[in-house]
Amino acid sequence: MKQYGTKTQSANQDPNPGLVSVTLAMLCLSIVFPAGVLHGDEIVVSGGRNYEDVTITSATWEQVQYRLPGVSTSQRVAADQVEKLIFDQEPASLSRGRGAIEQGDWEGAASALRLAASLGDPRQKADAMYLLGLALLRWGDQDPQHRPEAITALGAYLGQFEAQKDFYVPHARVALATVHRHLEAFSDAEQALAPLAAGDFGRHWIIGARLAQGTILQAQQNWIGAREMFSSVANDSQANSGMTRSAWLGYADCQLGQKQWSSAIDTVRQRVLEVRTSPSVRLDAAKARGWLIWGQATQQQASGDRTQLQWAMIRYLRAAVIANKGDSETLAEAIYRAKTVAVELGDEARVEELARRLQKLVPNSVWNK
Amino acid sequence: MELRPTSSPETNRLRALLCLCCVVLLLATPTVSAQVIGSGDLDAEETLFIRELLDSYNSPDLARLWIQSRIKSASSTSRVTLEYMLADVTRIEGDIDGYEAQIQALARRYPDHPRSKGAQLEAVLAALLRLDGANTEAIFATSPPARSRAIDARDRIWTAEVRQILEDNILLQNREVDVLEAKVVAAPDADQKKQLSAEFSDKVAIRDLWEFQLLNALKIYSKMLPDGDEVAQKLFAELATRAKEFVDQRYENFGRRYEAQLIYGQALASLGQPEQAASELELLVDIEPSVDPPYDVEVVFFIRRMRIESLAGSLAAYNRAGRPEEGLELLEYLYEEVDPNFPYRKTPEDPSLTGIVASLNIEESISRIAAGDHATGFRMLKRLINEYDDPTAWKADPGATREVLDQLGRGLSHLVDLKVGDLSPEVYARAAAGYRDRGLLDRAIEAAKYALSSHHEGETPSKWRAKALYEIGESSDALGRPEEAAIAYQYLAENYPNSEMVAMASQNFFAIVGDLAAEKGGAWEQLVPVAEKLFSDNSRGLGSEQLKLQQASEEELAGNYPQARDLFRRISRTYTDSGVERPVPFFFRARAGGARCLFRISTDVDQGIRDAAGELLPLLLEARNSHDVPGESALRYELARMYWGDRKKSAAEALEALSPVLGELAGDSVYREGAILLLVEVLCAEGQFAQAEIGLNEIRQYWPSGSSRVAATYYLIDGYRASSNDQHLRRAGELVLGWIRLPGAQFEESGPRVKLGLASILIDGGFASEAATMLAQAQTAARGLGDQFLDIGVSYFLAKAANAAGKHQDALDSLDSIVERYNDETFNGSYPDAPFVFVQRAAAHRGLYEVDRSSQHLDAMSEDLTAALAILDQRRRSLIFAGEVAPLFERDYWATWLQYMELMKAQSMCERVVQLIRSRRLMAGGEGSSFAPESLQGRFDQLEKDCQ
Repeated sequence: MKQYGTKTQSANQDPNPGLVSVTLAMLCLSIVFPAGVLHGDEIVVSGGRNYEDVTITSATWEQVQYRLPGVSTSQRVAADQVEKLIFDQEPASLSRGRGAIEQGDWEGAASALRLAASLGDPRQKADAMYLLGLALLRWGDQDPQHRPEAITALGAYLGQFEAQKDFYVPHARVALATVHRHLEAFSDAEQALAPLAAGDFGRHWIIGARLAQGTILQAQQNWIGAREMFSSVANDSQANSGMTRSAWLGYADCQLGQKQWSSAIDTVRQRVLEVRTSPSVRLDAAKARGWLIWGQATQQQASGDRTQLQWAMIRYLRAAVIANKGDSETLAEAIYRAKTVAVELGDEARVEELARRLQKLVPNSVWNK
Repeated sequence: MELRPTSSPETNRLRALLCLCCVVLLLATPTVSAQVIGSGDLDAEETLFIRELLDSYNSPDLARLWIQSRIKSASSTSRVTLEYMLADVTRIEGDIDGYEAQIQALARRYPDHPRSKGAQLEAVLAALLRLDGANTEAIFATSPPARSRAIDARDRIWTAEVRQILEDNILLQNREVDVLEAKVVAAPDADQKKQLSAEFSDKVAIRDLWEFQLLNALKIYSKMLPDGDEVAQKLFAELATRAKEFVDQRYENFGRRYEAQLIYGQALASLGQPEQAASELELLVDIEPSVDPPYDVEVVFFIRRMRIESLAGSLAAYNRAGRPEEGLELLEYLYEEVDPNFPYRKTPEDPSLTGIVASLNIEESISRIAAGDHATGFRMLKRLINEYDDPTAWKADPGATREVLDQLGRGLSHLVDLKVGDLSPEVYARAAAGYRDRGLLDRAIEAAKYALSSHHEGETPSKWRAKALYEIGESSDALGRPEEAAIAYQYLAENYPNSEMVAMASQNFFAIVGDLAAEKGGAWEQLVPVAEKLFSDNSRGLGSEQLKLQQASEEELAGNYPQARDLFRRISRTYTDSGVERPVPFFFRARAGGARCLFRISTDVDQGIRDAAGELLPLLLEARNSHDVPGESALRYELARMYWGDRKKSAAEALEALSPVLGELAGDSVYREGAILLLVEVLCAEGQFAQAEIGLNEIRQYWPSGSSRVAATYYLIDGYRASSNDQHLRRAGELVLGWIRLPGAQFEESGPRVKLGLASILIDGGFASEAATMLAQAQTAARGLGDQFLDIGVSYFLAKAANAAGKHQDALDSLDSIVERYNDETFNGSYPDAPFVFVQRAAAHRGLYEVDRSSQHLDAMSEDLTAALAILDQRRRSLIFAGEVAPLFERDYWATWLQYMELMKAQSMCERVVQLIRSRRLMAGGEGSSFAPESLQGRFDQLEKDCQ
């Protein structure tokens, strides 16, 4: 129990790391590439049909321009709708830096992206500099000494590319606010979000800023304020499905903070886990986070009941089965929490096995300390 | 729960090695068109024809027919060659042990045939095939204990049957080379020097072949170990050193030196030394024939193979070292500066090279994708997948297709290692399978998870996400994490209802949850209805019938026969799938279960049999008419089990029920396997060995690696060993030698007592030297156990083996030592082998008597046999009082008497002999009565006649 208490405290410093990763994944993982050299690019958009086999000619935070094969005039799509840009030709260091982020190898990502940040092409350079900041931010979740480096890297990117309306600028501001929040520099975090909240980057990013502001309030354990903020995003008809889901997860996390276990379960079940989706549904970090919240609520309500503890274990393991190392700390948290249940159940073999996995998976993580 | 077809990437390579070996040895064969059955010597065309049938067309059945016809008209030399080819047929059919046994037998019978000289090497290659089989079993094992068992078997085969044999032979060959070299130097005249030099060259060539095979074996085994494994690294280092030494010191065969160079480069690559690997491999990338054109076809083939393999090796070296850009540079140099068609690609490609060309394409696509040329890399990948993961390819050559797809999976796992992001669910799912193939189960799970969250949407990504979840389930299960396996299967069944994997996932989920519910209860028990519903919903109409079958089996196991019978009988004859009525595949099995329960319920055995048979007999006809082999086999098994089980032993009825399974049915159904095994058991108990051998052959053909083979062989051994017939005893020995090599027999793990027992059978069968080896193992294992009887047993059997080998003085020393150390125990018959110590000592004296004709030996024999008979008489009386004298005991008892009487005859005590025999006859019923087992009685009769 002592161990569990310790972890609750460290979790309180960042009460919603899963939400951060989900938000960042939703808002940030996109790339821009130079015009004229690309074939077979892809623009992944939220909730709609992707644009495949196109040539992306430019991308700013306002719009992404592309050409269709055999058509000379450019087409455009609002940047708000764009989740991801994929290119069929790119320097290996950049591509592998992005892949390392996907796989949760923060050190490898930082190393590759530092190399890529020196690329001559300004757009490739922008990609690399932004992604470097993101990698350092995620690395900082495991080892806080990298947080100042993340602030420096994101600042360097904004200093160089904000004036050019680069596609990543609003994403980088959310990331910057996240680092400040982790360092409990809440006013700096608010300041990073100010241009977004003021509408400088359009309606989409006002909602994005509210989502990020919710996490700042949550970090200060201002549960009521945070719930209001998350609720306003979740019920905003202009928020896309990813934002809505992140907002409900934040909302449920606040309910956990307020010890409203049953309500938290209802929120994640009705708004995240049991929402009707298409058959090709992705089992991503948001779902994993939903199972984690349900598991936590079950464990808290169990009061030593073995069957309820087993259910908590099953829900943590459901999170662990779909979360990967690239989903920030969700996987580590799921395994850690499953271990606490195994301790309560007196299942020593399971405790040892889960401890071994944590040590192997995230040796430096707060969830392994 | 294993539902993937099992195959292994190295199998074809091993087969190719075997073929290469056979071809080399068959080159001496001499002429008639292969398409007609000729006579006399076998010609080159006929040899080629057989090779084609076996290798290119994979038609061992046709080859067997042709060879069996041709063998009748072949010359004596060619007959041996054809017999060797029949052994090859056995190998192609998958019976590696049978193949090896035939090769060894042929080598013993025809020591001068060219192929006999390579028999030992062929045994090593057969062991490599077994090694590959064990490794495949380890890869696809779905539980840690099964995996660990398969890995232990693999490592044991490597150490005992491959490495040890190769090293011992290399040592021997080198010694012989040294001796011959010295003889050449010391030869007094030119003629003798010339003759010795020729012998020397032959010997060097054989030595090199052995050394080269060690390189190949090391390469094969090292690749089976998990990537980065400490042992694997050590072996790769050893391989690099040995390959380099081979290249530097063995000049006789250029082709083999090139291959060794290739192995050297590949080993360096596996050691994580890409620069060195690439520079060594690049020596081969642009090799040219050393003579002027026109080139021989074989030479061109060899050069192309070297180029392709070395280029693939270079690319792999760069890719594994995380430097795909340098691989891409090499490719661009070769395509732009050397030849755009490098390394002389062909369309269509030579079938013998398609596998390695695919390897090259896999590595090239990885280099391109990882180095940033996504478009070309993914196009190549797509082409490869379209070509190989296609029903036509699977139908044409499933083994080669599986090998390429396995290589592709492993290659893609290296692509994921290179941290290339944004890959499709298909790539991640295939990479996950590749990681599993590489022994990295945790990485397999992680790669499969990337498929789940990959941004790609639509039907195809959905299909591959389902496969990825299945992979998570399989790998979790293999890692001993059944809860996570169950959850992965549940995700799959709930989220991908249209996936082709859903039925298997639901079944696995149901099975695991059932186990966890029984073990842990609580939440897992509450999940059982969810699992039952998913299983029932997703098994395409068959689910509810399967559920009844499962529930019936559970009730039966719990001893609730009436409930079980009710459930068995509620299983329908047909079910409906998408509006089509189909037969329930286990209907007859279920009815057999119902009849079995009826028999169990009955307290009167004979009435129970009548009632159950009344249900089973009409179904037999129905099953036969619907060609349901598993169903009929299950019905016949149940019928026979009632006659031959724990409640009754009536062989005739059991055999009548079972015989049609062997004679009239065919196929590899597991139910037919069970029925044939029972048939063999009954036949052996009844001494009908010829029929039992047919049953064993059927098992060997259809289920070569199943546990039924172990059991059926054992039944035969047990049957033969109790016989007094020398041929039977010899056959028991032969079977023991085959049995100990069966992985399922777990001979290596068996204790010294088991080894003693087996050694005893070997000695009786005339395999004294094999028995001595086994006894030496038993002696080592028994050392320090402080087990008196074991100590006696080992010494006794060593003596028995020595006697059988004609080393009578050794035997006598060993037996004297037993009697000296355990005098009272031996004379009092305090341990099982006590009388036989005397019998063996008598045998030793007899052997010595035949040499020196000293009457002292006859006296000693008399004393020993008297002591033996005193113990045996006492034991026999106890057995008679207990109600049963085992046939084996009777055989030994009367054999001892026979020896004793023969001795008396030799000592001119004929009157006493006649008296003794007469008294035995009277005890057995009267004058002229037989008293000994049939096989010995004739000898007593003759003895009596001689003495009279």
